[in-house]
Amino acid sequence: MGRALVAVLVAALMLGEPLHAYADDSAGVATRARTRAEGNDLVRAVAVGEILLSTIWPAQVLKIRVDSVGNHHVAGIMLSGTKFHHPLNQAAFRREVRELVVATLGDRSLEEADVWAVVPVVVSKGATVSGPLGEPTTRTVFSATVRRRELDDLDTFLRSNAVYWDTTWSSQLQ
Amino acid sequence: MTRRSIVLAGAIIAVAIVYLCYREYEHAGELLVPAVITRQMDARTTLSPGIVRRVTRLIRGPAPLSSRPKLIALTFDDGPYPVSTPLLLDVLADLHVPATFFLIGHTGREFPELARRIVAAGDEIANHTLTHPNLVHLTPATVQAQLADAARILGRYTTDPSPRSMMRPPGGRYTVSTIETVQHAGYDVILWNDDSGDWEGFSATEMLHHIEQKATAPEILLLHSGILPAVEMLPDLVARFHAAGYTFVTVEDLLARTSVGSINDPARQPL
Repeated sequence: MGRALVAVLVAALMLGEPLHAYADDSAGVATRARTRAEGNDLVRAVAVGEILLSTIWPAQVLKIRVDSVGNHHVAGIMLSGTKFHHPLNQAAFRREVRELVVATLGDRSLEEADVWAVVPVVVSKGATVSGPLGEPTTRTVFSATVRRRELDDLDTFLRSNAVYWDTTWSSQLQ
Repeated sequence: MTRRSIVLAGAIIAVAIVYLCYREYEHAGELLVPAVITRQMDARTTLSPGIVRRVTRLIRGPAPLSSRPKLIALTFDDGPYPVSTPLLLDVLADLHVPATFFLIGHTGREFPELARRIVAAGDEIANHTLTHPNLVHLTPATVQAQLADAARILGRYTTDPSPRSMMRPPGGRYTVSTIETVQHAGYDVILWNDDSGDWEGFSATEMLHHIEQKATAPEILLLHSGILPAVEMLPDLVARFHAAGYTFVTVEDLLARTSVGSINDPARQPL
């Protein structure tokens, strides 16, 4: 009985490992949403941020951007591709992206949720990092640009070649 | 003629020569600075046309509007970028106007779906190098590698030859040597008749005013991906150019519908 219980618990932990925890500090969540919001539609960006940042995701949400032109509203979620809250494999990362997209597009006015992950890049000493010809300080290692219509079969979309995985980075996910 | 008059005349001529020489290196929309340098053109002669041609052009002034087609090609450098490129594509689709995107190869690899969407929307993609370096500082071999690597990536998204035949140097910076290297690699160099100034932080209203004042026929207009005011002004810009009788085309279409000479010597007519 004891062994069976342990086995069940271990199996539950392996199969149902929680993807995220919930932030219990609503004031902190609101502050983080404001500081991480970007774009010309800050009201929407903060609102999306408050939803997303009430969860502590394994891959940290660095920025929430919403830009609006006319009737078009597009959201962007920038993730950190390093220092995860707990180890992530490719499937778990994809699962996080899926949840972020679904949560973001819960705002019916948004037509699209773009999610991408970046890692810092070491730039040579003295290199110019600003201006149009500056060297980039981050590198995109993952991207998924998801229109609302893709929600119908999001799992298939996220497994398709529409999604970019940096091969070196993704091979290091565990 | 007094000695003072002779000195004054000499000074005026000297200033004029210095001014004309300076203009040679001013890029967009300036006198005798080409917006397009095809692979067949002699780069050295094209970029340094000589004093007689300069003076002739200066005296003659811009070509008359009646002799030039009212065609405009919107060109967007850099990207594709998340959020801003989808918004730009949405707005272009609403307006039913095509555009040409000079994409950075590396960014095109990082956002494959956005590159595909540009092509699927009927827009054109062309080569803006692999990593957006200042080509002036690179060896000819490195310049060629920048173009070839970008073409390999961008070529996955389109059957059109444009990523392997049309390029724009990052920052619009080049030397005669750069141009010759690019031509040798099989590319036409596509610059612009007018720079919208979007990269300088202008508002949509300021940009629109500038573009209206600097309008040419035909026109290649420089804009950038990732700059929201440029997207915000598009509905007004398209309405104004349509009202003035212009047709919106891709760069490839522009080159098919008018001569390079016409693009490089356009009529100037504020809207």
